[in-house]
Amino acid sequence: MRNKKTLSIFKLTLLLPFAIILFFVFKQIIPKADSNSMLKESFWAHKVCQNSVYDIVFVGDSRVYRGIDPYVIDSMLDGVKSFNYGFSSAGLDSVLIYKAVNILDKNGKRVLVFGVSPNSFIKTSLQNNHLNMLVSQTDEELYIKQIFYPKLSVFNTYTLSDINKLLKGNHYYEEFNNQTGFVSSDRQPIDTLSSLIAYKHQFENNRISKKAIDDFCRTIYALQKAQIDVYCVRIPVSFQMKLLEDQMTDSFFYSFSERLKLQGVKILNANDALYNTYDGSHLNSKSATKYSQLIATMIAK
Amino acid sequence: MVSDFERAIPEFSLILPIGISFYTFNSLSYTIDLYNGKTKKARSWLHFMAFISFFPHLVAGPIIRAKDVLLQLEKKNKINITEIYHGIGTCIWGLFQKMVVADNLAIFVNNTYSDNNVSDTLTWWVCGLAFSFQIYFDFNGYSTIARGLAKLCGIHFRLNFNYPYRSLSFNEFWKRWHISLSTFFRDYVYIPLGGNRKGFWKAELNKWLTMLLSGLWHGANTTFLVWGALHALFLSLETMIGKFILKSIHLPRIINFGIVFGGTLLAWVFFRSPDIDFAFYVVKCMLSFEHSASYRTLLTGGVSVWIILAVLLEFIPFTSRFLIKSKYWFIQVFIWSLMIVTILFFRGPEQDFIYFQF
Repeated sequence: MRNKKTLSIFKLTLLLPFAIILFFVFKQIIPKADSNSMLKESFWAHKVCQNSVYDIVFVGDSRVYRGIDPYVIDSMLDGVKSFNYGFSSAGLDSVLIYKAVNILDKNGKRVLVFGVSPNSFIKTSLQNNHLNMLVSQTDEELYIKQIFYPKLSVFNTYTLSDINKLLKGNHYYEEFNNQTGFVSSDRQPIDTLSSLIAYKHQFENNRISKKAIDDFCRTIYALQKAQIDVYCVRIPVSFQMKLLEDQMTDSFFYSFSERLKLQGVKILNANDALYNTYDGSHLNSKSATKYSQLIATMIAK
Repeated sequence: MVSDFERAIPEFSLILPIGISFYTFNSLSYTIDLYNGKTKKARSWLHFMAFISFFPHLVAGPIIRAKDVLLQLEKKNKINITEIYHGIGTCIWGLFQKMVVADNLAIFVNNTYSDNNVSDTLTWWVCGLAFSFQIYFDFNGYSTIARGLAKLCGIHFRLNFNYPYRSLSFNEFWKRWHISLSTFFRDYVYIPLGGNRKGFWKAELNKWLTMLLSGLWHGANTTFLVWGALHALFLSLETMIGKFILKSIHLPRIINFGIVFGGTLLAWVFFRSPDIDFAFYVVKCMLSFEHSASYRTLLTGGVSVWIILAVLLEFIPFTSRFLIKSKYWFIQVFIWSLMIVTILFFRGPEQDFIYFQF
């Protein structure tokens, strides 16, 4: 009986050190993840719970949060504080814009920069599922994600497909910046055709909503009346992607930008050939920096 | 534009105490057993309250019986270090089942059920298989954690699952699946209705009533009712075929196993579907033999690995024996440590326990 008791104490004492040793052995064996899902969750919780106010806010979808780095903008424009308020597959509807206006500093420069693509006005994007999913979390969940997840990120999980990809040498780097809302991204190997099929499928099943464009233009007018400077940018994509978007949306951006210009909105349509994407749709980190510099120059003018 | 404002308006909702159904079950079981003379009166109100509110099982079961727990409370079991060691091990094993097996299977199941465009036969069968194991490891995981926690408090719970998918008849399935609930319904619904003492057809009727009630207990939804009805149908068919058709013929074990597992899987479709129309759509897809999904994607995807692990744990006696009760203590400690690390690295996305809602 006494032996049994001693053995149980011994076994219990061994359990934790064994687990710690195995933990570090696993950490060594498993390839280092390119992206940390806990940091990712924390990033989105920070973004959706934004309390600070900014002079410039960038609004749009993943092209925006991967393509515009507020840190670069702030360093080029003296005394300016900007934030990237982009969400995955975001549509430019009034709810998103209203939320973006809420984080504009009432006493600041009050500039809103919209990243516009044909996706911004199709039905599935206008549902803003990502934003809604984030907003639907409880305050406790969001608090835990903001405060504890960064500290617990060492326990980041792996999926089997993650490991499979890493072993095959496929990398998808993501660095989340909670302060600026920007995600620095890159992928190896680069495949600028990889997202074409998904986008083609998207446009085949969804038409651009004329009503959504009219609503957007009306909202812009209201923003201008409220002394907010509005800019619209079309973030560079690969040549094939631009061709696909123009073909499948009857060159929507050109008529759309003409309409906005008449409303006094400044438009930036950069030379896509100068920038590199890793999947045809999103800028890699170097090009994001270069493109952010261009935007800063445009705003400075 | 007003969504923030709307969100700020407090919504009226009914506040229910955590584990209300299990408080009710415990109180019912005590009162009825006392009335029938099957249990003794609790010696002190403290024992009674401890039995009613014993926390490990409160959110999702297993349902505990007064005669089991009150007796242990009266005995005042002393908690020793061996019990603590086994309690911790049981909790780790439960967490592994829930966080690694069930939660990883849930990814594929949830994605398939939330995609309205899936019509492929193979995908739905794989999804059905994945859900069969997800719900089992999810619920068995919880029951195992509850048993481990109870062990840490010096109380022993009975086994709630006993490898149910190994069953060779539906009758056997219900003796192995959620044992505490099925015995509860047997003792407090089926037997008081007359059980099988009042003739064959009355017994069948009682069986149907019990199974339908068991379905309704999961929720006032037609999907649960159909789930209960399907199991009642399977049980009745099994009895009738055994009684009138295959009196002395014994089917091979593999055929029996296939029928029981297939029937259970089909019934789970109704249990998982958000509504009855969707459930019939899924069944239609499963039986339409329409192939559009790439076999390779399905068979080499993450879900197949988790299904294989689930199959190993459920059907290969060596695997589960090796994981839970190894002969050699150092292997046991090593396996438990490995489970902790696997939970840390390979846990699936956070999911509520399925049985929390019931």
